[in-house]
Amino acid sequence: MVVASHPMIELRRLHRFFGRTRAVNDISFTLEKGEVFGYIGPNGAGKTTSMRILATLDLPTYGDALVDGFSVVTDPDRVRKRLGFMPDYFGTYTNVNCAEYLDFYARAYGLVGRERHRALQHVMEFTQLDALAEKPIRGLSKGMKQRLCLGRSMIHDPAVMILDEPAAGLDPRARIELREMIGELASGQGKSILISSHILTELGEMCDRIGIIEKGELLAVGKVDDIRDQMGAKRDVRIRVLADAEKVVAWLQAHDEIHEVKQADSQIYYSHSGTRHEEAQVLAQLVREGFEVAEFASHERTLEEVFMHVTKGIVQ
Amino acid sequence: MNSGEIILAEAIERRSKNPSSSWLSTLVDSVASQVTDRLNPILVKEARQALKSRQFVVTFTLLLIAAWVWTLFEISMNMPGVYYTPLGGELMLGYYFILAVPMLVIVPFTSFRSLASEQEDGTYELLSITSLTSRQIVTGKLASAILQMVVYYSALAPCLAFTYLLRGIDVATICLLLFYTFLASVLFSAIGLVFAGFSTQRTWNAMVSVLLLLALAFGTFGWLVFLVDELYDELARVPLDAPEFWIGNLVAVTAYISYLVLFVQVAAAQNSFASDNKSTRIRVTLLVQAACYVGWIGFAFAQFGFEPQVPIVASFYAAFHWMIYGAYLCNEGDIVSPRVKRSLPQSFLGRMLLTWFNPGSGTGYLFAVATFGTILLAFVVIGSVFEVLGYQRRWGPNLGELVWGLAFLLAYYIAYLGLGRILLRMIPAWQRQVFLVPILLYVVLLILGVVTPLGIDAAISRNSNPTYSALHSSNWAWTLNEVLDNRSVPVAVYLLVLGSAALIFLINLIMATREIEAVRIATPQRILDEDRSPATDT
Repeated sequence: MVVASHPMIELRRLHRFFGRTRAVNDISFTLEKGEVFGYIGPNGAGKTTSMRILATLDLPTYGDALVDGFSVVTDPDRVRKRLGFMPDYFGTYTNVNCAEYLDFYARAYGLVGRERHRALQHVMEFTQLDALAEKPIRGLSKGMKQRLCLGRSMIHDPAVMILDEPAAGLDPRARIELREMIGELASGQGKSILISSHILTELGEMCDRIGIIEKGELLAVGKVDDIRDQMGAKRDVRIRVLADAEKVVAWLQAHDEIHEVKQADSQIYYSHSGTRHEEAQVLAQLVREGFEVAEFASHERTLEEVFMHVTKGIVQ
Repeated sequence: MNSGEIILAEAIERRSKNPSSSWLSTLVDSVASQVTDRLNPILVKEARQALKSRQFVVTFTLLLIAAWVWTLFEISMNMPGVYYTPLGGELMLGYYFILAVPMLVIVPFTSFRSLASEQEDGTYELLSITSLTSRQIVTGKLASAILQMVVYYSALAPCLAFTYLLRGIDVATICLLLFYTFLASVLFSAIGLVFAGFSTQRTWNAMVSVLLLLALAFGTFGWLVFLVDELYDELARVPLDAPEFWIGNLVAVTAYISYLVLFVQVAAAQNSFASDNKSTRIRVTLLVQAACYVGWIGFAFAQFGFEPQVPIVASFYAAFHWMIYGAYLCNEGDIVSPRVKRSLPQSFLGRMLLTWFNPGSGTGYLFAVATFGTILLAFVVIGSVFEVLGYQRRWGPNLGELVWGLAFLLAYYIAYLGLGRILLRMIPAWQRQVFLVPILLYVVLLILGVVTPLGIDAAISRNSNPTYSALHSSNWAWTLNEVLDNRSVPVAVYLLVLGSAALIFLINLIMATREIEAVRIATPQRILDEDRSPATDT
């Protein structure tokens, strides 16, 4: 096996303009083998546009995107062989059942004979569609259709998968099942996955890195923790003191790593940009200073909070 | 492993998974699987879909009912004469009309809808990112149409056999009739697929649907009239012993093949990815077709004598044909993609001779003008040879009139095609993607060229019966008529028409410089690496 010396996905100064609208405006990032990258942004941010460019369905105005070292602009045919794309629509046919549908795509990807049968069997089992093989597509629920579409995008065992809002409209059970499948695809099968979703808590759990996009621009990219670091605040802390709340506020405001200090009666809230160890030292110092600390609680900022902090809700 | 061993291995594997199935059914499944592996995936999918579709069931049932009704009606109307009068020809005619509707209208329209609905529903996008090339997708759709034709034929097979038993029509006529209809249906289906690529937008598609239905209706009517007129008189016997019949068939078959290949290539090019070379194959086909065309006309001269009217009609047909394809070629983009640049000719000779086959609207314009000009020149050369050989012409213009007529035709072609190309550059590229836009532009341009001077003349002279003058230089129809009828055409018209053509050609030549100057670029290392070891796992 030859180890790829290039990223599995690479966006190089990608631009896509529709008239005056800058749907994608100078986006660059890379995605390595076996990595899951979460693509987050409000509606109309440019997620789908950049994903469609990566899937060779649209062309950039400037810049380029590479999949396994091949340009989507000049060599889309080579990109397509190593890419599985699950768009935000189903794209199913009438008068076809699940097995026939997957069989068609297996043939379309050039799988023949026993190779095709094995691929079908594997995908059916993986997506748990084996019991529904003979069921007409029109009779499938949304969750089942999503699984079928995931099966379609992985039938040819692609090295790179691009999933656009795969969990949209699914019930909690279906979402959990989908999350497990994606986890298995990345960690078990070594696929590189670019995934967009509005369900941020799930993305935070399954993605190695995330990219936050708004108004066509990439605002932040990296691990969730790193982005939190970039924002300057990692955790939100709540303290309840029995007395001298104002003095405690004044004491806290004198520290550089403590921000956004607010008081509500005996409760004091602030955000802390230091490490957990430094956070513990703040508590120890408060006690040493003689403040009567009755409660001290802190929690890491969730992906949703990071997202809300980074984006401004601007739609083009 | 050979095919037999593969089938056996697959049968054993299937049986091990499902021991309750019989060996025979398992073996049949394995053979079927092996056979379908070699078929176009689109054909397999469409066959599965079509056989379950309501449209197919309804058409098939109506076809059977219509055939039965016609049989009963014809037999009952001719009783008891049916026992001693040859009735096959009459009965066949009815069956033929019944068959013509699904074959010449429904199947081609279904092909169109099949591709158009894939684009409307977004399934074409999913199809395009598989390993299938756009050519495979188009030929798969065409193969699916052929499958439907075969099913319709098989439905009427007993009726067709019945016509032979009733006498009055021979087997050769029945076979030729069905064969020609089959060819027409395949060609109409290919045209349907070309129409499907005109636009990916629902609103435009609705308009294209109406246009195609009208075209199919006219085409079917024309086909039926032609076939019945040509083949069906003379007691329903084709003139198999006449050499003209076979020569005509040879010409028709070569013309048919060239158009079918052209339509398939155009349909495939319309659906291919942006950086692909969408043009070179089409241009090569057009060139071969042009060579065949000159050959057919030359042969017609040699066979039937020099008739100057023939090259004029042939030139006008060529002008019509090359106007459509000229519009298509002029509508191409101006930028040669890096992908295409990798395979551009490098040598001086290669660049000189093959640059005109490179994609791009500028080279497309020059290619169209050069090929059309060569066709007209060939007609003049053929005419001169016949004149020198002393062939007596019976009617039509003399060689001098013919030369001037064709020179004017070429000048108008250069001017209108070039002007259209300049105007097309002013329309945003995304709007030009709908092929109806350039076609409409050229139609409007040609009409304006005729109507505008007439309007100006009427406004100035207030004369309802205008006379030809230099004002009507842009009126290609009138000017050509004047030249070919050897009427005195003002010198100003010569200067205006030929001068405008030269000027427009020059402008277009300058505009095409960037395309002509494009040179080959190196193939990226990643591509070379993969081509060297295609099985490398990354």
